[in-house]
Amino acid sequence: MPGAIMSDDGSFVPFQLRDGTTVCIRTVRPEDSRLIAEGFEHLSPRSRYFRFLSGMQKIPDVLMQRLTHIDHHDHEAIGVLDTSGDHDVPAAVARYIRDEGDPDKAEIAITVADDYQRRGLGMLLIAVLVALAQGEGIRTFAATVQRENRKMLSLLKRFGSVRLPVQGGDVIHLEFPLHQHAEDYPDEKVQQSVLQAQEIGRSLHPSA
Amino acid sequence: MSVITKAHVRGATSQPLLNLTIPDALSEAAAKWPDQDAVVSVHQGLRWTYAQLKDKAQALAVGLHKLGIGKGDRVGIWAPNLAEWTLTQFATAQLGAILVNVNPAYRVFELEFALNKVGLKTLVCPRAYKTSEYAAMVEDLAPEIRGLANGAELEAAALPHLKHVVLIDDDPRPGWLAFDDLCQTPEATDLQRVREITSGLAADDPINIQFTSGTTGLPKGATLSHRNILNNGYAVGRNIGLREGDRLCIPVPLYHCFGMVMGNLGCLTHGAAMVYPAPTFDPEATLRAIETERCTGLYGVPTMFIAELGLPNFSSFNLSSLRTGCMAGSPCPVEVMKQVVEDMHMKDVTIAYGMTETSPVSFQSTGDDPIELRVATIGRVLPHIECKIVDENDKTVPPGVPGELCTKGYSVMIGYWGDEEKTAEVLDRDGWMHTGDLATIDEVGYGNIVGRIKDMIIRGGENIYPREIEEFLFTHPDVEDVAVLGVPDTTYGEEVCAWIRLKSGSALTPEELKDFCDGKIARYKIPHYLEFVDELPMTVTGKIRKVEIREAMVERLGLTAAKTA
Repeated sequence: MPGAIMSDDGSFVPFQLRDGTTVCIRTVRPEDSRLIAEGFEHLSPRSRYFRFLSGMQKIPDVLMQRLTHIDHHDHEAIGVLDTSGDHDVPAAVARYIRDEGDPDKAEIAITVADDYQRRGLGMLLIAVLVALAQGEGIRTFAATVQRENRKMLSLLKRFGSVRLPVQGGDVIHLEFPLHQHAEDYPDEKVQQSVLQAQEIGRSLHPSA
Repeated sequence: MSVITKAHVRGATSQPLLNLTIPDALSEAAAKWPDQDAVVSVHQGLRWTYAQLKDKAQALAVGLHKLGIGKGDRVGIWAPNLAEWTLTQFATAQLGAILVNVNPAYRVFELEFALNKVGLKTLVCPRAYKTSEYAAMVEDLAPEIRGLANGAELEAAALPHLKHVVLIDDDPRPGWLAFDDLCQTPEATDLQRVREITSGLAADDPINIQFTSGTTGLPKGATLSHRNILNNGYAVGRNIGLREGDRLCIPVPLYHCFGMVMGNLGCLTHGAAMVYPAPTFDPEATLRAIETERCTGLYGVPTMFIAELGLPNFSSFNLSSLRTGCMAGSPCPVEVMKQVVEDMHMKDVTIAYGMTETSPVSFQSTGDDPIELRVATIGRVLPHIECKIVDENDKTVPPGVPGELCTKGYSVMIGYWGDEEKTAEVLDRDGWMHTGDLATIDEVGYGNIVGRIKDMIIRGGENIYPREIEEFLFTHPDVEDVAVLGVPDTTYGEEVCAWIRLKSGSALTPEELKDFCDGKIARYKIPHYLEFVDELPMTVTGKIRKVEIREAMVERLGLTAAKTA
């Protein structure tokens, strides 16, 4: 990736959440299907439903393939691991995938494990995706969010999202523009996250 | 009529709201109309006047009180349309005990959740009706009932709050109290004690819980007060021109607001008779009851009117006593409304729109509305209620523009029982209930329903929640993923459709999966269209797109829906 700075061991960026938990952020690799499956196992049914709009109890193989094979260009995905304990715990995954019909636009999907919610991870991850996507010429992020997912709806609103007109059905489609300058985002915390994320984005070393 | 510039309407407030409890309203009715028919159960051959209804309600209240039922206790009624249903409604109200409506079509899966969610203390049900073996189902959940000694309180592992089970039946059953035994003529002192309890009740007290659902598939208990439902019943009755001596045919289920609020409480507050043709909907029984009881009004969901009008011997029934009524519960086809007016004599028939969470009616047409508006709109906002249409950013839209209908006023529920978070999701801080229905309000205040933004199907007037069915289907070991949704249907308005991805190697057939459902969930929830697919349509990041499934089904099967109000 242009402008990437390798971290010390060339793989992940350590980071501290606002409550002091140390986590590591890195891009998703094909062998991460185990971690993603583990993370999915620990998601509450409600969180699973919000992510996939399905009550599925396991991620099907075909979908798992797609989720773990990223090209860092049309499809980027970052994972967060809690490395504070004796084994790595998957805490979150966030991705963007470029729209086939509109190359300036990408759909995002964020999942934060229930135990790791409310610590600022969601905002940070969206900001990191913004940083990585801008390097790929993406100008708009789109999201499909279930109406009852208030946390995600308000998070996206802080990034300046607008809701597309209601058409029926209980999912809401939102979009927000990716700004060149952090201060163009409407929310101060978001501005800070965006600056922080630009640093993180630069340190992430994409595999392959 | 004044013209509005924003889709925000307020009902008239010239006549004050009723500030009464339900038992007070019953006492008033018994005083005003003692000898008028109150409850007529045609299929049970039973007839009670208002004076009798009041006496019986108080007697049963004493019976319940002696079991230890008090204000705020939850008492469940799980039955089709019986006189005892209504008696339980009015008896629990005397004590301020909260009546919990249990849908007779529930099966074990749904029953256990609902009973425990609200901590039900007592359950009243008949032994059986058609294929529903109520008593047996309860005993399946709580086998401890079978060994229960006379007068002892139940201690059931699966239903920890349940203390008593009461059976409506001619024959006794071990472990069950007999409904008739609880209705014995009370001692004066016991009656006095109950009357004292009644006088201590407040109109804002919760008095009813009905279940609706949401995303995670778990039902929510919408909790309503005396004030909520008594006023709404009164307002609806007024809109249909209900008056003393009128006789309202109620084929709609009592366990939904249409029956127990618009029907029972509508009649109570206007001195009209509640006529029950059959335990469950039966088109012939309905028309026969209208004829023999000289009913002046008829309620129904669109599917019921369609069935009645479609009877081969329809014209043999004398429906000349009919004058008024209401069609509600799901979007009302304009053509059916026209037929109801012309062929069923119901010149004053109205359409009403609402939801359980708003007690239920927000919009209703009235006999004054010109016929074109009466058959093709949901009418105007009820007195003392405020409604607005908002866009995706919660801003009120101009008249005629579609958006989400929001309701505010006395009719908004207290909340979902034990579910503050879920309540806050639909009831905002300014007191607006977000209905999840897409609607328009025109320049002079007439409303139309144009769509739905909640994941819900209305089939024959019954609300069905796809998430509930999806969660149930996942309990089959071969099911790997499932999407349930509604598709248009000319008879039922919508039909249930399920697309399923099976685990690889499974030899399951759709028939086998339907068999798996049979008896475990309510019959109307079993998907009519059940298809096994290789993959479900998704967004690039893997989120299921139900809208694509609906489009595919509509196109492939040529499904259509009638034009509705």
